Amino acid sequence: MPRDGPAPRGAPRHIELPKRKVFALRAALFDAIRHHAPDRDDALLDRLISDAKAFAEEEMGQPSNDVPLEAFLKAAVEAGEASVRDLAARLKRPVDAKLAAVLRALRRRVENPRCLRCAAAAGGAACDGSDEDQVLVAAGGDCILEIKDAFRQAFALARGLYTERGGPALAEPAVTLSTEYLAAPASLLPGRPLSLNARTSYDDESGAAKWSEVEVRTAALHLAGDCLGSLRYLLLHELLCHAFQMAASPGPRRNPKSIVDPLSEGWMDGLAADLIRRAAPPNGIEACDARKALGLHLDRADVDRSRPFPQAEHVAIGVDASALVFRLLEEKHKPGDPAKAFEDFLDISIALNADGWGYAERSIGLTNLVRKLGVRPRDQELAEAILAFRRGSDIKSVIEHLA
Amino acid sequence: MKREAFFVHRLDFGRVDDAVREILREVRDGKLDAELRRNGLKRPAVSDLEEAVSLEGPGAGLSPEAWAEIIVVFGPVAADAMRDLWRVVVLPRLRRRFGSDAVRRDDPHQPDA
Repeated sequence: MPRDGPAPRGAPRHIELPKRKVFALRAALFDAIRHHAPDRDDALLDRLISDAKAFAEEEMGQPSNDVPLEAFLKAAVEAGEASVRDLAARLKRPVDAKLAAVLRALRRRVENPRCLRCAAAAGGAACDGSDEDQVLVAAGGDCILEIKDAFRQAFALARGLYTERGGPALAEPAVTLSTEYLAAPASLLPGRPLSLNARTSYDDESGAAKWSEVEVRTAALHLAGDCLGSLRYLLLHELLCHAFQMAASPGPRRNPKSIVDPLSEGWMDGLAADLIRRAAPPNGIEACDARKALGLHLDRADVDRSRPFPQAEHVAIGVDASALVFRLLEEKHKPGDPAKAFEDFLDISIALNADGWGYAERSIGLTNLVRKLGVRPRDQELAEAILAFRRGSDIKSVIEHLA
Repeated sequence: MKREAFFVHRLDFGRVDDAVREILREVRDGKLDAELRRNGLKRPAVSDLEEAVSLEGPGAGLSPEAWAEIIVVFGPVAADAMRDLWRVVVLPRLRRRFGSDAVRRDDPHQPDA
């Protein structure tokens, strides 16, 4: 049905209860698989996945919301487990340790219902599909805990970086999280049908006050382990690259011509993937997620594919510019203090993205940076301005060399 | 301010914005008066039609999507008349220009769309 108009801005909006049920079920299932059987591919696991999908599809087709979320999850998990054990008996195969661990994790999930915790914290009843749910999901929202956790972590990291390094003019934006349901994966990243995508929009009309809305868009019915593993990177992209972008600008951050900004989309996106890599242990699920983040970042910047990402050309400029600046900082700290080079790189990256220079200026500026530093001899004035930049000093001293 | 959403399929925002500006100039110059009359509308009494309507792109994010949501923002002056003009003249013309399968009012991402 056509909508009368978009929802009013300012308050978070979240997906409806039947769709949250679908998200909660698939997130629980694939989280269990990611942790306990990431390399499994067999008939029993397939049965569990296909049963969960059928359960979710059936729920989406129900006209009413009379089954509470936790009861729905419990029924889905019990039915899935019974179905797996039935198939194992018919195939005369044991439920092996990995699959048993997946089933145990799912049982634990439904034995510790989140709805009651969420409702108790809000001092009321659990969600019932009414409009009141919006308040509960905004305040608690444990049904979409995976999204909420990734948002909280990304927000804390980005906020810390920007308040420390964003300069004195930074006006910290109010950042809200919303969620939207998609019928099918809709991203244009070639070969990667993302069942979790996100976007950030601004509403800075009232003076210098800034508001960033991060909207996570999920094709929950198609949610799988890969995308759950990319959630942290997805949210860090939105928070680090966009939510605090241009927060030192005295005016609104509107982008009326929808210019693709190579600084936020390329340079900062690479930094997001790198921060995830640096925080991850060398092995295990977090290391695997960090590799996924890097893979997504590289795919976004790959201009040589037969069907590149639509913004690849702009992303690549940002990636090239950041690499040239990082190399310059590494040379400065020779004979070798990579930690100091990275600290300086963080300072200049955050300051550049927090500054209010416009979308067109950023695009031209980073193109010029690549042109000036990517040749020998490189532009000495620009190189010196970059090397002289210190946290807290005016980033305009660098930007003026990029015009 | 009144706002309204529409969705475009794999169309560059700049192209859509340019097309809207062009249609509004035609309205301003009286070229579409007959079409307005046929639909029971008058040319809105707005000094600057192009200022009275603005478009906002879908925002930045990890990946653009095949269907992009564009928000039409109607200025405070003659907002109702501008919204009628939008629905009756501008949107149908965008559909004719870019194809009826590339411009729509309902959200293609929703299961009942």
